[in-house]
Amino acid sequence: MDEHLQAIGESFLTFKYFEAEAATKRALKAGVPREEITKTLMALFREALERYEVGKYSIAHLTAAASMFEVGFELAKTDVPPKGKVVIGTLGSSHYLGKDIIRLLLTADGFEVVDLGEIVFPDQFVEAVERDRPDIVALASMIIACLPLQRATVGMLQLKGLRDRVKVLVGGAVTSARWATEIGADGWAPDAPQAVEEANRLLRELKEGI
Amino acid sequence: MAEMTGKERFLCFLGGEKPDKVPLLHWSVDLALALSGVPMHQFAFDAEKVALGHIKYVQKYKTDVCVVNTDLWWAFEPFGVEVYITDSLIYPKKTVADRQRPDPKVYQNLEYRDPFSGKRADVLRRAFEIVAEEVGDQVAFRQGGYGPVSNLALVVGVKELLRDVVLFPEAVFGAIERVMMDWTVDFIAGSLEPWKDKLTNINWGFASLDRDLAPPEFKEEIARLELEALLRVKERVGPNVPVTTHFCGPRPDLDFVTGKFGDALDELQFWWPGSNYPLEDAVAKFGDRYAIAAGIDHTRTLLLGNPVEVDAMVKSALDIAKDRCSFALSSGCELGIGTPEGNLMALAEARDKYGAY
Repeated sequence: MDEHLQAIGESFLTFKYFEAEAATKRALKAGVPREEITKTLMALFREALERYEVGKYSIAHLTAAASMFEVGFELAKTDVPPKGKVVIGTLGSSHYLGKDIIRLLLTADGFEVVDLGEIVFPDQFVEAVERDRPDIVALASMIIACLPLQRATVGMLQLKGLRDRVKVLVGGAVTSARWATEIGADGWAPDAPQAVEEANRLLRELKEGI
Repeated sequence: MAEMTGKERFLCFLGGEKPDKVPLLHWSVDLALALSGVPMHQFAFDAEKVALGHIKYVQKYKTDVCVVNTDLWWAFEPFGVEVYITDSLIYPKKTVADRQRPDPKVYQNLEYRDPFSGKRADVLRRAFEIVAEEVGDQVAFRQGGYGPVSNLALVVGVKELLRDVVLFPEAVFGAIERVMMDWTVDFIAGSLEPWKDKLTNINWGFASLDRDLAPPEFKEEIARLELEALLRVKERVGPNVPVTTHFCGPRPDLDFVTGKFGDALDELQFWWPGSNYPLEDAVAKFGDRYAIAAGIDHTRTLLLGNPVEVDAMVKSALDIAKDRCSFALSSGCELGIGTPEGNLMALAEARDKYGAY
């Protein structure tokens, strides 16, 4: 088992996308438990995140690492039912990275994530809530000009009578706990790991009827 | 000193001479669109409305420089880049590598396309001509484009390019050398032609050299390619036409870029307050070599603040830079759609109040 996981790790850390994919397939064929593979991929992605935090990796490296994590995780994911469903997207701008990292971490944590992508507008979130019936709506705003779209999304959910059905989590470089409270969101996270913790907290609240 | 036109003021600034007052520079497709009186799906196809909106913009907000555009993607349509056009926005719906599995063939198969063969190119070039004819004696123009690396990102998708330059750099850099270098030179030189004798400068966007964006191992190569493209544009347009810049990001790598581009640039325009590069540092390091344009935070003070805060922001920037270098008040990037008119008026008033020499 170790040699297969090591092969995945070596390909991953040298950014050999197709080799990492092939190594994941070989590991699955050899009977390596899916949980072990996803755990390894998660550790590798976290290592990439740490290297970015200390300036060893650029956004380009992190983008490549995210795509490698994603292809491996898709192959190795288990059939365990998701713990909850999150609809996520970047409001108004094409900033993808923060939102993508949260999507990957939530997926790895057992959530089903519907990614609306970037340059998303409030009405698209409302449509997704009606269509996908998520537990949580995660709204990312990366530039200040798009902050009003977070408020508008919360308002539109209220107007459509959908607000009580979902928890609203906001985040992004220009947001704050104060802002989240001001617009009536249920949660706020300053970074990706805390977004996962916050999503779990909101899910618990939802299940407890809070 | 006698009142100068905006054009005279900006040219003095670029030449390192003292104008009557500090030039004012900001721009916004969204606000020009609002001033044109038509929705985006009409604006984007009507040269006269594009020109009208931008002319009204410089006249109403008293800027010394005009930047005419509708969006980033019109010249990429011949590559197959498609956009959505709503009442108020243009944004891409499909780029060449959009959301596909990483595939080096996307780059290997990329072929040159004439940047002006798309259906919206004629609209923009005609709009440039109208604006040059109408206000070419009063204001300067800030037209140009990004370098070949950024242009490839707009063809294949920013996210896709960032991923792929790490996964298969040879294919990516091959496409830049083989296709995007010529395309960039043809696009920028061709975009500057309609301005004829009203052309004041070549503007170069440095999106690909933001501090965190590019892999450090490729920065030298990216800079080499960008410089080659710029020098070729200068050759076509005229070696004495000044080169202005635009650093879009929150972590502008001014040190690296000035180190690599040296005398090929005449001005540094970047986002402060807002980015992590203090104006004080830029003035101290580069003020004796380049004209510097900064001082307006388009994302916080101008968008969310009030006229008193705008006044204070202008004063603060001018206190730092006005008498220490050739300085222009500039927003970090394009202004957002909700920027209050009162703040824009306060900006012009504060420039007049604190910016006179």
